[in-house]
Amino acid sequence: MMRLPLRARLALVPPALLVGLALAQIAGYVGYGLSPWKGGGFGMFSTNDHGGFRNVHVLELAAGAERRVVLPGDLERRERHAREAPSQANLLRLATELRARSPGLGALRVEVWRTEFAASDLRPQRVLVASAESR
Amino acid sequence: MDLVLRVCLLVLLLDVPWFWFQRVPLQIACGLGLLWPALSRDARYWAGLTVLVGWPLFWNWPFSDNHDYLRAFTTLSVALALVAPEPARALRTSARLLIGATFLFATLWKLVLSPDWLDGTFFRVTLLSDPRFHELAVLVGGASWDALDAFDTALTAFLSTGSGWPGAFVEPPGLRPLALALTAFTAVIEAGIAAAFLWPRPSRWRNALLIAFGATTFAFATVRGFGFLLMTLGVAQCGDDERRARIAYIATLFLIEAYRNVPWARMLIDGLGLS
Repeated sequence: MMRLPLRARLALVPPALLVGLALAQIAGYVGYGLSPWKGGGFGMFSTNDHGGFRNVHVLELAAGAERRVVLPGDLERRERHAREAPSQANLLRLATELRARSPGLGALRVEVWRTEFAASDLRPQRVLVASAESR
Repeated sequence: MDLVLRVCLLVLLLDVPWFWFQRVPLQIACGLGLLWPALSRDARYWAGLTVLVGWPLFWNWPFSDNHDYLRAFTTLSVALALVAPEPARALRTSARLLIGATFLFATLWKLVLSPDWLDGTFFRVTLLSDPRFHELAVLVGGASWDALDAFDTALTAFLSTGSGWPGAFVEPPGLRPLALALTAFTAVIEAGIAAAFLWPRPSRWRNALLIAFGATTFAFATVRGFGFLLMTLGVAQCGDDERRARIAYIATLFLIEAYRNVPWARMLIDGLGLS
């Protein structure tokens, strides 16, 4: 088999990096719900599961009840992180930064939901993508 | 090779990043490369461009669009080609494989991984909810603006307040066949491009498929940065004897820019009295 000289093989590096990144993006989607539209895996325009149809909910857990917590505007970027890449680390980071702004908050649960549309009549319903609790 | 370098710099200059601190250094660097062609033949210059294009991908992760990654792989390809024994040949190889791999994963997502693409649900929802596709829904799908407004109002209420879904919403009857046609067309052309570009031997289908994709898809899906890059990579993978294909790629590149700036679909809708 003919072997290409090292410098000629450099042409294969960018495509190999693309393939590696795309495989990592698929692993992120399967592993922790990374948005198919983000992360370099070319899943855009393949599904309605994207940031526009995802929601982040933060709930304060009190005895026997749950209260929705409104996120302050300056946590918008952190919220987007949780929405697009809802790993446990990103969800807990959002809870930690929220607690730093409101120290009186009790235990928190961060949830990320996506919207699924019924094939029959396009009726939407929410599907939980990921959640994490911070005490 | 010089033509590819100039087209690549032009595309980097036309489709600039959102943030000024990413945009301005890149614009200056690209401008210098266009003014001094000798600079644009230097691998170190393209390595610098790769850094300028690539660092925001880490800083902004995971928010960058997919074509932002492709842009970085493209500049890296040029940098590496310029130190290869045969630069034009190396760039042809990189460009061909970048196109093939891009469409391979786009096809994998649509046909295998996505839960709502094959049955047409993705396009049915997109035609109703994405403003970029509204004109297509009206022109070809027979949707009324009232129907689009009704879906938008109901969806906004559902997403923002968690309220229920109004049972009164009726999907326009022409939308489902249009969505299925778009699904079938996209599957065939994207899988075809992946196969044609990853096939190791020259294929006469390559250029025809990619140019057809650029000339059709970006008429409505106005992601011009992605279209620009695909046409640039198309030029880069052309052989020396494919002069007509190179011209067609560049013409399609400008067509994609025209799609974005000329409200042709709106004018057609007005002309047909559908507004």
